[in-house]
Amino acid sequence: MSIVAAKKKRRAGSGDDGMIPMINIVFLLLVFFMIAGQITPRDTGVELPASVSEAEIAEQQLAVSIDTDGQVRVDGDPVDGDLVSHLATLVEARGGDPVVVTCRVHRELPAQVLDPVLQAARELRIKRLQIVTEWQP
Amino acid sequence: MLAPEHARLVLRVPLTPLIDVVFILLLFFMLSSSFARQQQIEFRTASTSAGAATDDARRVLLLAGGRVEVDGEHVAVDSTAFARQLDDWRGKPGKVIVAAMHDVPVQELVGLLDRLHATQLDRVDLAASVRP
Repeated sequence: MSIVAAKKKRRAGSGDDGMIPMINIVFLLLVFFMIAGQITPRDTGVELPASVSEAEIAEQQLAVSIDTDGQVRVDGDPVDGDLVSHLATLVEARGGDPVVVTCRVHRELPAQVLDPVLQAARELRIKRLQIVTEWQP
Repeated sequence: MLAPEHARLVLRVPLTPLIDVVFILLLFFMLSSSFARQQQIEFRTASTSAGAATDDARRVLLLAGGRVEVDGEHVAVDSTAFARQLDDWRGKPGKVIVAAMHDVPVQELVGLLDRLHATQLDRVDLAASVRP
């Protein structure tokens, strides 16, 4: 059998051979994205302020987000009425556990958008507040 | 017993459905994961407004353009005068109450809070924004 004929035979017999290096690479990419990436809910249009702070976000928290239109959301639900009463029911549901409020605010918004959150925290005697930031060294 | 050639045929994994699924998983993780590190900067709420601070509290008012008002004087946030002021406050009792003018971007407020945390001040409170 000539060399050309042998090569042809090998190709015909194992059509999937070229796939294996590709699958190796694709698996490698898959493992990289699974381990290195964090799956987070997308905040539509909220660009977080940059900060050098390295403090981790509290785990048990009430997440308040304010997007560019000024729409306030608590744990993802839009709040159109009074923020204080909305937060009060959520704080009550936690049965007296210390509450941390984290604010996701678009970086270009004026500081006055934080006022309702500050006022609500003061009225509900929530001591700890956090602004979520994007780490930039 | 199976002949060796026959055995190889039985054990062959169908690669095309496998790679289909792997590609779908890969796309999902590529599109849904983010690599930006999310951290936080913590503060407390000031029990009084910045205008009615108690005696032992120091007040910092953040103005537009990266400037602050401390004790009636205007200094830049990154100036040495402000750094000296913060060094002076460090280690002494009393809290720092920060307020921002109502139209200052949140980014500048976070920058100031960063600066205060870097000085290791014991307690930083944030008061409601101030209107002129």
